[in-house]
Amino acid sequence: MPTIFPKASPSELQGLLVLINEHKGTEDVARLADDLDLEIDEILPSLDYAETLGLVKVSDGRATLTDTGRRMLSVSIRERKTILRDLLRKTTLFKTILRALESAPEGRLTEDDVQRLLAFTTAPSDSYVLNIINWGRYAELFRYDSDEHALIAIRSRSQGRSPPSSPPSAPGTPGARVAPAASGQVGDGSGSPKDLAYPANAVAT
Amino acid sequence: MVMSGFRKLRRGVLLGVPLVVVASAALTLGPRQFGFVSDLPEAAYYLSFSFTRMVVAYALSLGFALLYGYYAAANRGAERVMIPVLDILQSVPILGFFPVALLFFVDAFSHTGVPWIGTNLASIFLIFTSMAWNMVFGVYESLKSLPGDLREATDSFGVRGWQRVREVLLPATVNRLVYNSILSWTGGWFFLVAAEIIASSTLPGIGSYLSTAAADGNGDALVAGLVVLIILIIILDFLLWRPLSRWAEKYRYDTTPSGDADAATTPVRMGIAPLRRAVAGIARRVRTGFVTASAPIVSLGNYALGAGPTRRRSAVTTGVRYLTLGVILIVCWLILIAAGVAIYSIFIHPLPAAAVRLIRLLPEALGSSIGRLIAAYGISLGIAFPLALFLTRRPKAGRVGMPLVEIVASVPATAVFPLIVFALLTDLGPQLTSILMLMTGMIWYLFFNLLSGLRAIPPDLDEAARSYGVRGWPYYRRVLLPAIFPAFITGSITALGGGWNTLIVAEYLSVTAGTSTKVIYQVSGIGQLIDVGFHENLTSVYVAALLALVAAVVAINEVVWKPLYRRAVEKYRYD
Amino acid sequence: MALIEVRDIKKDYPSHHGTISIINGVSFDVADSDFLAIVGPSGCGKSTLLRIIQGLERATSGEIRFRGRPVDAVSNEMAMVFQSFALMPWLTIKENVAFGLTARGWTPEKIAAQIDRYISVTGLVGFEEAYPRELSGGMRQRVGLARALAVEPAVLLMDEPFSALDALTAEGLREEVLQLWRDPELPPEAVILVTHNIEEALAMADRVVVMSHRPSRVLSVVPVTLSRPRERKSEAFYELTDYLYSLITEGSPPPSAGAKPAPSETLSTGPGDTQ
Repeated sequence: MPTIFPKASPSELQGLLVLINEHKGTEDVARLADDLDLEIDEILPSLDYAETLGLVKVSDGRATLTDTGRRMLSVSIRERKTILRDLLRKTTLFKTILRALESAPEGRLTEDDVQRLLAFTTAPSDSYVLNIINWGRYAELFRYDSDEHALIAIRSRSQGRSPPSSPPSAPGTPGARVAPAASGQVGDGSGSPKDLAYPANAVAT
Repeated sequence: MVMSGFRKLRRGVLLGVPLVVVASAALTLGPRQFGFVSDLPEAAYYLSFSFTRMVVAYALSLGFALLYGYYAAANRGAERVMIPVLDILQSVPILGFFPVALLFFVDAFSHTGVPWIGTNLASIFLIFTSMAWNMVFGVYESLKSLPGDLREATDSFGVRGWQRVREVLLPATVNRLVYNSILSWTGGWFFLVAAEIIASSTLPGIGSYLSTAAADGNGDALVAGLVVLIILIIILDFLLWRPLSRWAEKYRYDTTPSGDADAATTPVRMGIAPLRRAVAGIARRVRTGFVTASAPIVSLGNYALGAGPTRRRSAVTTGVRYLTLGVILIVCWLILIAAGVAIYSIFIHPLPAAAVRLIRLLPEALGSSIGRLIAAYGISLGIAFPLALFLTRRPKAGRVGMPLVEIVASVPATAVFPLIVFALLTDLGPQLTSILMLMTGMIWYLFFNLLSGLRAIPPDLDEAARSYGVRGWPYYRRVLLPAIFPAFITGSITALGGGWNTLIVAEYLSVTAGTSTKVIYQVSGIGQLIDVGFHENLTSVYVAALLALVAAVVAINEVVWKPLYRRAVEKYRYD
Repeated sequence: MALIEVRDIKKDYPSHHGTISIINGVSFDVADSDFLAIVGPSGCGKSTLLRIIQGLERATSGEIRFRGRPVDAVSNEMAMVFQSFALMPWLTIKENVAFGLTARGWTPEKIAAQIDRYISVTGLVGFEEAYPRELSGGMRQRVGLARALAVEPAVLLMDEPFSALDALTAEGLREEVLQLWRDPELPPEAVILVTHNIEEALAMADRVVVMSHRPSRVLSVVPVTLSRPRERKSEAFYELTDYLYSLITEGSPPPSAGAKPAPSETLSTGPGDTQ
């Protein structure tokens, strides 16, 4: 069986989750597409990968957010990346890449290595490879040197339980400073007029 | 997506092949095997003078281009004067003005006791005039085409002063500036070598080294000179221009913002041959230059002939209109020449008999020069078109052939002249030799423009032709030739432009030793008159010939190329 | 006192046939913590109005006041997010986010801290050293957002920020912008969103300024009191959408609605009304 790889960008995937959520967490796929004036095959790539990651369940042409999918929407942008990272780690695709990165000299994989590595996926064209790389970068699974076209392992992070945000190169970790506000921010009555806002996702809380 | 290490290596090997070819050709050409090796140090020594001149002229051009280009782009009032001035300057055959510059600078520095400053400044000035305009346009156009949203973002975030220069204005010019620099540098070599040949011993450099070698019949020195020049050009290409143009890719900006995910995943194209890009640059320049420069002339024509600007005209009336205009222009120039000569003879001294004799030869000389140009142009086209076709239609041949062609094309035509004279003059005779020289100065403009034209043919046109079974001559007549017509016109204009400049060195070659000038060969023509006028101190001849040359260039541009160009743009574009 | 007062703004452009009036006397206020949307038919000058508000363009007549003081140069209390992102292609993401910071005269430490913070909150960690061309449209607009937020503007100006994105990405990014807006720790005090998309305006804004065809004026300022998160599928949302459509297409409020928009009474009762 070919390894499934993302054909949509992280932004599109997230848009899909938001869209399903607007339909109270479950909706006919055709209706979802219709809502944004899209053809069905325009949302299928995101839907496929959302399903692969276990964020959405599709049965009988109906897409439903899973618990993970709901949780994803209820947290801050930064925490979403953490959830995504954990999900991606479980996929064959990223498992393979990360394993290769671990054993690679100096934790670097060149463009050629990546091409070879991904050769087992069903004929990924160049743009798909770049998309895969961008998923990895977004989820902070590895870094990427666009001049050398090389993947670089994020070394200092311990496997598994890792704090969100910056790769080792970024000085200072902003995550810690702002993080407290991230999930508790909603409706914490901090006095600012802005907290007239509602929780991001009432369903999840 | 990106060049792999292996592919890089293969490319390197491919580019190394021509080096070997050139070297072995040099070996067989040399009378004794390896005989030229002992001349290499001396040749390199002379080359270092030339290289220094190039570097100084380039630095000057760069500074000038940044300041002039920025000012023209920033100031609307200044723009209206600065850009047309530049358009005129760049269409003038600058090599013809080198003697004037030489006289001026030598005279200016003759009292200082260091006369070499004058000749060097004159040559640097000449290279500067060949390099600068094109670079100015690079700066000006990239600043003018800086997307409005980037400009707004800069204002919106209050980015001013040095940060504005460093993070917005300079980066915006980098891409065009690098490509135009490659073009300028290539052109610079042509003019520098020509200047050194013309000024001969007063301007030690690779050009005078080569022409002296040819005059002395010293084949070893000739080969050594060419070998060091080619090696330097290749080294510069590999260590400077290629890395630079790869780096410059970063500074490209898309004028159309693309919001889709695909835009991000489009791989960055790498390893584009700088020269090809540079030629595309000339094409663009010619296009915009023609449109702007011809506007006032066209409106003048409209006014003269009482034609409304919007009325549709047949090709015949257009032709007549331009012909009339051309005739008017030529008459104006002739009056100017006559006036110039008259003023000269009244105020300075009467024309010497030799000058009068030579000036009488002017129409005939112009005619034979034009004949020579047409012949060289025809032969160039006969070679360039099949070659370009072959290299585009046979991808395999193209992969091997293109790097070779690029290296050969990067050798300045003027540097090959002494070799041509040395090796072929006795066999070919002066007429054919001179035509061959003109060809070397013209053929690459045609070739690279035709090549880009052929490459730009939309695949669906080809597919349509195939699907309707259009093959053979009908295919050429109805698909291929119309599709490349604009590129062909641009190539012809630039090739002829190069040809006019080449005339000055292709019709007369002499070596000055001490006070005596030894003429190696000459054929009658306008270029010869310019050279003879200069070398024999017949200023009136020089001035008359130069003016006639300029008149001919301007007139032919107006009468032949501009109408053709307009037609090409109107009829044969596919977008 | 309102945060921003827009007073009788007029904008004319010279053309071949004399001058063309684009904006013909537009006035409204933007309050603290106001999320204001400006909608109108294309060509009605709403983007021009946004530029006049920041001082990027000059009005032919009228006045913009920020905290009571007239805006007569580019205001550095406001920051713009552009439709086309307007990122410098030759600067890395980090440098792009820093773009507006260097001009503020902050200390290097403060600048570094700002960059890290806003790269982090917009989810751009991992792309610091990337160039814009490596990024998808959605990611690029996050950089645009980070660049604007990093200067901690009092007012965030957004000019059709989602219209160059594909529909799914836009959907996701709108939600992210709202999430950032909700965060009391983050700037700005107020947002002005220019859009041609009525549903987008209603999904995001507290009030919607509806502009007419050219020469444009304000047809109505409609408060949106639907509770958040807005349910685009709700009856109330549809009604309000229809109301705005009819306002724009008919060029004046429907007779039933009167001069003051009626929907605010009939439609929902969220606590978010800042009027």
